[in-house]
Amino acid sequence: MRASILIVVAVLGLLTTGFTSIAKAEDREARPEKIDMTVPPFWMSSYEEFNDLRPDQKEFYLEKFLPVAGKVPGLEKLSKEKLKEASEWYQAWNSLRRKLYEACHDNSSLSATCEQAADVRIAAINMYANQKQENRHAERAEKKKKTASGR
Amino acid sequence: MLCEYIMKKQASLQGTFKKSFRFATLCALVAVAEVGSARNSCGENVAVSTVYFVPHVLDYCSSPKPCAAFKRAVRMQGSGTLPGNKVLKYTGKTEDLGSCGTAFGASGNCLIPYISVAADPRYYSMGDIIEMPAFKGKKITLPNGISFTHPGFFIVQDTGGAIKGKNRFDFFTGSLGMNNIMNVFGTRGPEDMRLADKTECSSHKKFDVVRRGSGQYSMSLAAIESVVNDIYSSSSKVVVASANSGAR
Repeated sequence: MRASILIVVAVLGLLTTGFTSIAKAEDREARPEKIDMTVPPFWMSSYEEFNDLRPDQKEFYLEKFLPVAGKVPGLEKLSKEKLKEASEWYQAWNSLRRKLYEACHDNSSLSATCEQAADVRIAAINMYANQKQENRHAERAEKKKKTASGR
Repeated sequence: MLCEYIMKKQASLQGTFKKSFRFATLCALVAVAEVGSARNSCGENVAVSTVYFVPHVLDYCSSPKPCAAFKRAVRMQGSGTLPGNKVLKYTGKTEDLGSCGTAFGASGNCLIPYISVAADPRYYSMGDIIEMPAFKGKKITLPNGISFTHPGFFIVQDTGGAIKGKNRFDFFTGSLGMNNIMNVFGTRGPEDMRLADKTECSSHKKFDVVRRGSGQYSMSLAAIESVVNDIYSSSSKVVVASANSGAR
């Protein structure tokens, strides 16, 4: 009798531990501790990457990024002045970047917006891409492809 | 496999040879394309590499005035350098390079021969470091006679329309073209340093990535900066990546 009670208690204990760890794991999955922004996808330039760009690349980036950021929850009220201010201060730029990364990470309905944000970064960088013949041909082919697909 | 299965299904269900033949042709085309792309791929951590350079007018013409041969090279390479740190673009425009003696990369930084590399910005942040252990300790001599020991690290500072994919890299070799005997990364360089042929998948092209902002980054950047200081010790300071970089 005693033995069977002990077995029941042990089984219940194991089940409770199992449920708790599953719940904890689910919780961890739902709220990731930290998003690694040093690896792709690069939805936004890091402060350092942006800082190294030439003045016209920076201007282009800020101008094109603002309307895209406006579609991201938490960044709707971002103004041109605030974005420019953030571009001169690591902490502010990074907090903005983290908001975008978290939104892109958590919200699959934002995937098109996040892709647009990533494209703005690439377009700004590519303003001074190497222009050897092979690269020019590839760029032309890419443009043609995009025009044909209506993007 | 999938193609084979669908073709069999089509043939059995509809009994029409024409449709399955059309599909077979499409499958063949896909297979050819796949073989082609496989030929360009060296596996995930082996670089599919090419080299690029910026021609200098005095290597092509007897005077600083751009001659036909130099203009041709500029059209091919996209730009070329003129005396007084000026660059002539393929569009015909000239630009002042300031203290940079080579060319500016898409990152906004001055390109460093045998250290700067162009990569796909979709996979790499400007300033990311590509570690290629096979190059560590290799002696390299520049056209101006300055020698340096390669740190085994390259830095992503440029992009290009044809440089697409995770392991596709275009290595900057200063003013030396890929067939120049002095270009150690070129077609006539030592076998264990050649990077000009993208179809060649040798073990010396194995690489790892040190991400800008990761813990390891500061040390790798310092190794590059030490080499760059050796190269440019007599001339003005060259910024490799902005001072804010490092682990955060």
